[in-house]
Amino acid sequence: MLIVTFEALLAGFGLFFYYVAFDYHMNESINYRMVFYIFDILTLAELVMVFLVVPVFTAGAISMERERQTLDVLISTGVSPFKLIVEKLLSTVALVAIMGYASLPILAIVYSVGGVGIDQIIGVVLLMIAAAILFGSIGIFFSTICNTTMVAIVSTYVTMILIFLTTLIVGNINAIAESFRNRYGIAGTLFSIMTYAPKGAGAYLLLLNPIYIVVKFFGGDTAKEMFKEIRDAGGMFSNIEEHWVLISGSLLMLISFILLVISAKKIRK
Amino acid sequence: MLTVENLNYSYGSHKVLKDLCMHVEKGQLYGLVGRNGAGKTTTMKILSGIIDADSGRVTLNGVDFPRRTHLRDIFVGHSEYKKIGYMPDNFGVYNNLSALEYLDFYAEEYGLTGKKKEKRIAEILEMMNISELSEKLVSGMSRGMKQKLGLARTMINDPDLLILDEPSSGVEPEGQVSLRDMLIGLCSEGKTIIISSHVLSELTRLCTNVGMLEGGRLTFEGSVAEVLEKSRLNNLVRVAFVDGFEDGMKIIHDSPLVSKISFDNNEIYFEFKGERKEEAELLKRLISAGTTVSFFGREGGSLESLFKSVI
Ligand SMILES: Nc1ncnc2c1ncn2[C@@H]1O[C@H](COP(=O)(O)OP(=O)(O)O)[C@@H](O)[C@H]1O
Ligand SMILES: [Mg+2]
Repeated sequence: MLIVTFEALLAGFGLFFYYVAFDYHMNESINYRMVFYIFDILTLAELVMVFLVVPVFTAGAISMERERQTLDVLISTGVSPFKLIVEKLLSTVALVAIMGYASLPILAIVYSVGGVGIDQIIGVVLLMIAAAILFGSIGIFFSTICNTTMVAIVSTYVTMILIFLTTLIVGNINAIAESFRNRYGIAGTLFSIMTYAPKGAGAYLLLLNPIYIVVKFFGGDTAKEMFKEIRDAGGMFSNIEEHWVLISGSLLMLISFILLVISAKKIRK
Repeated sequence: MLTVENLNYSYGSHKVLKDLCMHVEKGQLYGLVGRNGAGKTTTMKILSGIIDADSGRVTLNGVDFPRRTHLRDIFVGHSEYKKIGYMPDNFGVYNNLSALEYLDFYAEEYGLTGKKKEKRIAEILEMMNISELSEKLVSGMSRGMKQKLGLARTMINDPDLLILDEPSSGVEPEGQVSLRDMLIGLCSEGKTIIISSHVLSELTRLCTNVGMLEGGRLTFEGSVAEVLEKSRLNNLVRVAFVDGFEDGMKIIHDSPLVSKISFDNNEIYFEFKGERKEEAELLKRLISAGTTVSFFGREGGSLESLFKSVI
């Protein structure tokens, strides 16, 4: 049901922009800037889905079964706790993957129109999956250690928002300080965060912020341009910006794995 | 078949099981009885591998049951537990699934697929007499139906030992009777079953053996026949005199096996720590002393009163 609604929304959305990009501006050339927007907004929409949907589903995954005692029955089959946890995670991530799949036709249009590279599309999809797995693992973790589903959902959101804000603020501390000095206000500060390349060692924290990366990376900047000044700040990995997606993805997976192991350990409490 | 030695378990600082020992033989229908909060559910969860005991040992058919405390234990499955079918006190069913979907889910969990799976599910539905429920959603089922479905699920893997936590609580009387027939049938086919209840009389009607759980250990373990005999001994003896009440009172009072004497009109009540033979001897002494006794015997007390006195 959710998927059908989502797909319908995406279809309408895609068609609308298709017309905007082609018919409306038929007399001129294809509006490339518009294509970028489609891609941005599409990406953003999916991120929001991942951010909103995954925690709700995963944060209930274990605690709801605990409340209904069906978890005891599952465990009593002698199944490996880690396998049980991973199955719970995958069933949610699969849902997100289906949503991503539903948006493929639109991505294809965007690609055929040009302006967005195939590597960028693959990068978005990969980071999105990594984000879904990370948020899902956080959800599962709280679902395992919290007594009620409600507490688990709230804890998951709070943690995600904390990670998002801390990495965003520390990673862009220079831009934020600059804006404050110049009294840009909130809108101005946000603008400078999204416009300027992050500097300093703190920028590495942004490896843990898939949302920022996806939004900024595919808003036109490439990772290379985004983080060109990190190296000068004396970062450990001189070519980290070249493999940003890979490194960020691996790091998120590692954190997810650790969270899942702890969850598996705690499930038989 | 199942041996439990010195099981200890605490929830934080609250010690629930203290050196619990328990013995169940193949084919027994074993009733675990205890007040609410005595630790029946906790014991059953340990036996089913849902929680780990703090210490102690559980063996099934001579095989030690692993306590899964190592980190690597979270990555591997434990097939020992496939020999046990566990049903929690609310039957552990999912409201949003039909009976068929529920059984299907667990059949796959136990590694059955394709034709083999379908065949097994059909067998189980048939065996439990719930074929007509297969398309029905769990949310629309009565407790009795859920209980049958939960029981059907425990049978999917054809386990040797069934552990059923308060299976008949909240189930209508007809449901209880059919549960009883079903469990007795399963035992005669060689299954071993442990069920729990806080009502002793319910278990003596159903089980072959009983363990009474109180204070974290079994205060009694034995056959139902032993329970009934114990319960008989636990009842007061009543003697009714037509004549010779005073002499009778003296004899009864002097008997070392008698305690807590009370009387009412020409009747005397007392606790008597003796078996049938001692009862007969006391009666003989009363009669040879010249009293006229119109009634001598144990009052029929409830099993629950035994339960209260044993614990
Ligand atoms: N998850 C838990 N956390 C803390 N205490 C518990 C928990 N589960 C049970 N207890 C306590 O342990 C005792 C035994 O509970 P339980 O095994 O459910 O008893 P029974 O099944 O015989 O009613 C009770 O006093 C109960 O309050
Ligand atoms: Mg209980």
